[in-house]
Amino acid sequence: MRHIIRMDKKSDRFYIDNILKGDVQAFSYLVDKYKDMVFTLSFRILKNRENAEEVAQDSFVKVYQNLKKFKSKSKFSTWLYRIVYNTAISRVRVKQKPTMLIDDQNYFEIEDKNQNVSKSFDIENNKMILQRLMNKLDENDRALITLYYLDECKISEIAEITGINNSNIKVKLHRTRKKMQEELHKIMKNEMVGII
Amino acid sequence: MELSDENITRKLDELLKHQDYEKAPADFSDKVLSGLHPYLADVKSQYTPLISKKAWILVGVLLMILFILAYVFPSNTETWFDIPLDYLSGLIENSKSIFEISFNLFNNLDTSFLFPVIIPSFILLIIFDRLIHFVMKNRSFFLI
Repeated sequence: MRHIIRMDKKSDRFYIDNILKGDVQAFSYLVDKYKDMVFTLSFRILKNRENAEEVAQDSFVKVYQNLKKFKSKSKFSTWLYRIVYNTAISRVRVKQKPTMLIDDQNYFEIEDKNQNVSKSFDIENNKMILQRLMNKLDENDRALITLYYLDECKISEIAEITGINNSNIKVKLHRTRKKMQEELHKIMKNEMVGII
Repeated sequence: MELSDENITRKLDELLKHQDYEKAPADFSDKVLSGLHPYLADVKSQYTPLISKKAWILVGVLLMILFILAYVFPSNTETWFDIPLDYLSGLIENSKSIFEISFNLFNNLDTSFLFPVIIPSFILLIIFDRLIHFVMKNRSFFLI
């Protein structure tokens, strides 16, 4: 997926210039290009598919409204993720209440678990484990992990997106990994006990 | 599998490396685009003047150069630039006679007629363009 995204011949700037001239098709191209990452980032922050979809859509509308302000000082994706991150984080602060704690395993909606069971058992299993690990993190840490490992953003880009400085991001990533390792240790230990 | 730190680190790396994007719903792009409709209408109705500001500035600069050339380098021969130095004092008298100018182009090719006709025409054209531009830009105000 990420390889497909980076293989495009025309730069984002080309499409942005066309959008500013009133070409809606150019905007639909950018939406198609980034929709999965935008949706993933908001889903990881919000942990709810409907809210994530809403935030992702709002973010694209905000992008369209503010496109004139984008001066190409950073990558378009960095600017876009910053809008998504801010929109999602403010949604978390406004909407989610501390009483909404749900059982770990159901925290993220795992869709179509029974589909192609034999073929994708490992993939699904890994996905479930990752979701359980993510569940132990707060929304900021989930966003950092998503940006750093999934979208392979640089530390400086993550700093721009989140507004946290470079050294703090490195520390946070290190601590988050440590936390995930500890949780993974517990999961694997339980699995081994189950096998024995 | 042994639960060494190495194994756990390797497993975590594998999990993070092979994570995939969540798929946005199939109708996601359509919903985004339909959410843009109010803003798209604004883009379509934006007024852009036929002659750009840059073009007007260029015309203005050219006219100024022409004007300066005509006064700084007066010629003895009967040419287009041959403007009498007391032109300004005679401008009012000349402008009175504009209505008496015949539309025979060959009879009117005289600097004493060209300047009173061309320069006020350009100025009027610029004022007219700016006026239309202002009205179109603030048409919501005028419509109310």
